[in-house]
Amino acid sequence: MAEVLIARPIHQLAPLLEKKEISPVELFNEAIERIHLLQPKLNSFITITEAEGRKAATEAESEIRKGRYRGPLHGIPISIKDLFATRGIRTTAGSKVLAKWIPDYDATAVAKLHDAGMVLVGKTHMHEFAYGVTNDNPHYGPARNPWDPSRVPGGSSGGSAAAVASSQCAASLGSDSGGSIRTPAAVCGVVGLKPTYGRVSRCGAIPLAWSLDHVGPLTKSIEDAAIMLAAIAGPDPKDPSASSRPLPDYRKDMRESIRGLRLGVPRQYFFEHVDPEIQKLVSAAIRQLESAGATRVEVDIPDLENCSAMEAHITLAEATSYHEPYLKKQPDDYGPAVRTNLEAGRYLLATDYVKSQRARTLLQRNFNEAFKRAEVIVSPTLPALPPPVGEVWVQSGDLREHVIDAFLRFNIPYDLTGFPAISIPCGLGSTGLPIGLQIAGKAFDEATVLRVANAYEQSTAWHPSRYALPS
Amino acid sequence: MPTSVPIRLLTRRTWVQRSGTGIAALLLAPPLIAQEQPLEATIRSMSTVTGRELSDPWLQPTAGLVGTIVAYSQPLRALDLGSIEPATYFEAD
Repeated sequence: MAEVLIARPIHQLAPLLEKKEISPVELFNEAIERIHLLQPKLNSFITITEAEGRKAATEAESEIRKGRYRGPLHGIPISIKDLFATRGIRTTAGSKVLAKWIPDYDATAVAKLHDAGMVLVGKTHMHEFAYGVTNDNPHYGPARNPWDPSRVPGGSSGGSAAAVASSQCAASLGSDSGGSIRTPAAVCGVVGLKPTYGRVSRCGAIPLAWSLDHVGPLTKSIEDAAIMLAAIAGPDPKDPSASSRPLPDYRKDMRESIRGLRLGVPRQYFFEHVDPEIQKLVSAAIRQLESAGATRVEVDIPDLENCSAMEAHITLAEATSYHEPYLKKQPDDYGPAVRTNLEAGRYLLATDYVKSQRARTLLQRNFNEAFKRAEVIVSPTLPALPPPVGEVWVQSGDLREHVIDAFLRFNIPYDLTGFPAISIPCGLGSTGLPIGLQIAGKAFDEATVLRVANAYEQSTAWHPSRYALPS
Repeated sequence: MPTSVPIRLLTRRTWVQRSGTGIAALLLAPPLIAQEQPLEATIRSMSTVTGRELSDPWLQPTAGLVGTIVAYSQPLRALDLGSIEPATYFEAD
């Protein structure tokens, strides 16, 4: 791919925009050209906001020329997962149920990105109601993986990850209840950050499961993730779970050395039944972090085998509760897989739901014990490579399993505990597909997670903006 | 589906989920059939509790999914949590 401006990460574009060396309109034109070029092949967008984006780019250009530069996101082309309400712009949640919904408000995270001066290029494709991991959508067709369009991009923020990876935008806003930021980030070779539960307001995001939903960015670099997080994080009176805990200076803190930092490598669960190439590249990444000065420490985290059951009871019950009105009025507008999940949510026991919520406290305690021995915990993001579109079986080392089971497995502990976790690219396998390394930290310690991720990124070649991505 | 490949109960859950109708899943997963027929009857009889009738083609896959989730929830059900309360993720600021 010939180097184009929109392929650069935000932290490289921002100074050029501030110094007026490039124009937001120029950048927007590149993004929209790539969107039109790639949409037939990758289907990364449900709605392309060309008119709105051009208007925003023109306004950004005018403001910057007048010296009213808002910050590193001013004039930057950004996409938003179609889960988030956008004022005056169709918001479908990847569904037929909401196909015609045009909100009269912005989600809080969207409003914050507008305040930061973003240029919205479109609403990205997603798995129906975020209730899946492949982005194979019965209503809008499948989204596709930019590295191999015959394969899924992962989900449920698959359109967002694919759009960032293929430089249709500089960054995207996604959501994560069972890995829906980190899975597509790993599959598409970009950075995907699930912050601590409550770090970013969920107001205006169509819920999958209120107590599991997290909002976060997908970007080309760690610094970009820090920039996006700084823009969207913080308290919100409209979201009772949004914390008013002060925000660190993520961009500054991430540059600190990791010398002496302890990397927790779990003895159980996270390295079981993993594709050998994923195992090899993740192990190499851990060694790379040790070369950068970190110390490897083995940690024990018990009771992880209950995570799947806990996730099932919580997600199914909460999702069905949200969808009750729609299930009554328009049940046949749901795709079959989502419909089955929603129907099943009625027949699971309340006592199992409450037990699962109680078991989350135990899981937090177990992780916090591990965090006494290590500042972060590292693992693969996924145990298997993405399947072809339409296929549902994957090979996770010695285990043939359903893609949903595989893609949830290493992600859901951090949705259940609420702890921050990031997926960063750590190489390409022999198939040419990206592999993701997951780094997780203590509650509200995104700064350390970003610091470790940045140390890896700075010391290696596995950086999406340096890839020669197929066009 | 090859029956010689070990498939965890968990994957049966998601397989049934994916199939939509679930008929093929039920035919190829004999251990589940005996479990799911009483479940279908149970789910049908719960209409007075849920306020909603569930009939084909949704009854079978729903019963299959519920049955599978219940089956792999046994370790969770056996977990002794003492007096542990449900988690909250934010402190009163």
